[in-house]
Amino acid sequence: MMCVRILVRLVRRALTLMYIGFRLSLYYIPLMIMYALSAALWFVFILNPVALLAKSKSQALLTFLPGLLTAIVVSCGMHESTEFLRFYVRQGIFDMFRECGLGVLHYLIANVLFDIFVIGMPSYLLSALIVLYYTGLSPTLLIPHSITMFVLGLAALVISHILFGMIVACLYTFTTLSEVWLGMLEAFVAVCSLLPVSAFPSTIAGLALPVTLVTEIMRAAYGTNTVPTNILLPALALSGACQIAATYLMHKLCERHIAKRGVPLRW
Amino acid sequence: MRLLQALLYREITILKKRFPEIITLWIFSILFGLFVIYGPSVLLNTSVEHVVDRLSMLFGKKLSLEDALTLMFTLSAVISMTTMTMSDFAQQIVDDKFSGAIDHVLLSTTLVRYYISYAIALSIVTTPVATIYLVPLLYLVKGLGGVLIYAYLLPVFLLSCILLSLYASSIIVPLAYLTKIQRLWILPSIIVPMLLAGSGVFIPLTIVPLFLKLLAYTSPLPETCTILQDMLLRAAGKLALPLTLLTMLMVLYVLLYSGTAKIAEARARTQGAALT
Repeated sequence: MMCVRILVRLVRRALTLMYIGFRLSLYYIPLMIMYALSAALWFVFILNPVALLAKSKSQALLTFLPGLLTAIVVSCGMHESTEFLRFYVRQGIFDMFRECGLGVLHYLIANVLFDIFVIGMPSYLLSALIVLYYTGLSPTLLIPHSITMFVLGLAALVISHILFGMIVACLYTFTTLSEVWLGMLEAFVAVCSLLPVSAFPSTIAGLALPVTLVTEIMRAAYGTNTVPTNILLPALALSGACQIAATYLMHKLCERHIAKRGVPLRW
Repeated sequence: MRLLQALLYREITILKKRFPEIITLWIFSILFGLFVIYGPSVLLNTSVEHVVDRLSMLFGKKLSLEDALTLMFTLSAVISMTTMTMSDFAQQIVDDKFSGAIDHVLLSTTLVRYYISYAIALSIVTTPVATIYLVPLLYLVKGLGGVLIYAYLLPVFLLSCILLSLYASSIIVPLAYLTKIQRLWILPSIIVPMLLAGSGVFIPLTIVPLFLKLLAYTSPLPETCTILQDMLLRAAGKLALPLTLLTMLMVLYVLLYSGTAKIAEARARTQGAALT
């Protein structure tokens, strides 16, 4: 009973945060649309040659597209951390959040659904449709074979979005790393999101990376996975638990550090 | 000439501070070039030989792996060059306008001269910086011949960069001085991928769908990519048409820019640039 009450409280809090995120994001709608369109065009730019040069165009598309969604959403999370700790500090919004007892983790939770459904999914669909037009394939290819796996993939994406956002927040708070290095990290994560598990030296190494695992689950929804689902599902449960624990730990460390030393103003 | 010298000095000073950012851009460009050839084999178990054969078929010339790598690396420099030129130009115009620096500039020169000189200064500095990573890469692939290829293509990059700067000025100057758009710095983030996707870059322009090509055709990028592809595939005889088109585009940009910049200047002189 106690557990259920805690769970209900957590869900209610998360929903309130998401509502706040939605209201905040409304101020940046043109920016969001620009970001979604820009991400889609970058992927069209790189996906077109790959689809044209691969043996099977449809397999190229269905292997590549899930990675695209992961890369966009996770990089949104990474951007949001620096946005919160840099621009919002300058604008004073950061202080408002702190006064209400909210930190980076809460800001990431507030934005995660908006990032997936307003930035990630439109970019995903737009780039897919452009490439389908290019390659002359049918748009019905985009319908997942297994809706359950796709939804599971989206749920895993929520966790990874918050995890990578917190990693960047920790790096930004504890070190003086420039944005360039954070950009490199983002590029690394984007490349890992696109690679199938079979491209790694061992399956365990591939599945240990949260972004690769998320992409593989999404691929399983389209039947282009390189690891069987009976391995993917236990790996997701284990990885999900580890990711949530790591996120919580980083959140606590970050909060303690900010409470002690504050956040320096960086330009 | 003094204006150009001053702008060159400013560009070099700014560039030193942005060096880590430039390295990231190089890495991105190299990754894009490599991904076209090795992406299908890593992602889809397609052999590299198959990818090279498909490339040969698309470009209508038998290519070896070295040729394909040379082609992709060289074309990847278009990404770094376009990104740097467009974002630097937009950022500079926004800084000039919102910091009020343009009011001081207008005391000693005209807006038309200032931004044309800036376009030339930016191109002189940006072209070698954005493309210099090709030297070690092409050397690794083709030995000394690769370095010669770079030297041979550098004037094309420079011409393209000047044209891109003029293109940026003919779009961003009117938007900055004749409209009330505040977030102009985000404009390159949408224009750059749009131009790159529409220009094909790694694939022949003829394969790119018309709706993507339409916007790209307003820029010099499609012709630049065609020239680079033709020069690398040793079909120099086909260069006359793209070069003529580039010259026509240059005249068009200068005319467009001069016309709008004169109106913008008149407005800036009467109302103050920072307030317009």
